Amino acid sequence: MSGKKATNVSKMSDEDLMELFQGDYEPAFNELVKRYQDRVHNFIYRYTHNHQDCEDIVQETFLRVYRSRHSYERIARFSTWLYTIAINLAKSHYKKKKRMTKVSMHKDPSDPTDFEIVLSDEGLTPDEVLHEKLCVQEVEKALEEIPEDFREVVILRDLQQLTYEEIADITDLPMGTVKSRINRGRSKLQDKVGSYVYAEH
Amino acid sequence: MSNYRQDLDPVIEEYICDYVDDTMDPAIAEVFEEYLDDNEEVRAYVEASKRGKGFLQQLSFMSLSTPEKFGQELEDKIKLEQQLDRLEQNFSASTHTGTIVLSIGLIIALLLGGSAILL
Repeated sequence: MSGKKATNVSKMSDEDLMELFQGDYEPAFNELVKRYQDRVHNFIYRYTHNHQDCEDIVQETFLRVYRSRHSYERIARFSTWLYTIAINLAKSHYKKKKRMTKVSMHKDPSDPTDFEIVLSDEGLTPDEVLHEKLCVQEVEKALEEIPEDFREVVILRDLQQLTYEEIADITDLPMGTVKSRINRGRSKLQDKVGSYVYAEH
Repeated sequence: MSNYRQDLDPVIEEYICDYVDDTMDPAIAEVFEEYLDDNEEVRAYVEASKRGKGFLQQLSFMSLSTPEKFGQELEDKIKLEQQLDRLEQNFSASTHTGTIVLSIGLIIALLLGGSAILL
């Protein structure tokens, strides 16, 4: 391992890191894990709503990156490739879970690691914090209730802040369909949650 | 009505998305707003989409992190996998060696057998 490589990994692009990792330079992989673990965790949690399942899928996602590193080609952005792996795992988990049980996946009472939603509450009164928390819970619930095709794209766009092009690549959909699904997803979400929020005001 | 039910022209859908995300050219946005003034139902859909996006932004306050043990667990799984790979390679190498030894043995036996017949 050269010292030059070791000091530079944090400044390298994802794609450069992947190239290094394809040459069996493991610190490059560790850097990619560090960069993406929380983002992928946040993304997967919207599918599982269970922290243990979520962690398992995130681990599996990075394990697949590790195993399949040689199948990555630089023509694609690393993040697109990573999200494609994560989304496929999340979908198959979701289907499996749906087949096994029909219980609500919003908050899993059997999950000992299920923790409270943490909000940035600077400058808010306790009442406002409570209201915000209730709203967030409603939005989470509404997000679960909208059809998967719409949920997937709004999560990628509004929570993961990916570009339309990246979403089109990940979902393998034409750009027009991506944009139309984003519109429909957002409006469906507002339909579900809107009445609750406005009733509070 | 907030949720527009009819199939919209795909071009309008694209415009709506760019408009809500504020990625639209300002000159086009101006023309698009005029279009919305004449199409109340589409405007309602646009407003619903905007509010939906606003709700989703609330979720950005909810930040989840992987637990501290995540890195260690991943490393353990990778190490285990590497060990299994090595075992598999050793096994296939030893199987390969075994096959060679067996083949040589067979050739020698055949040669000896052939020599015995000739003698």
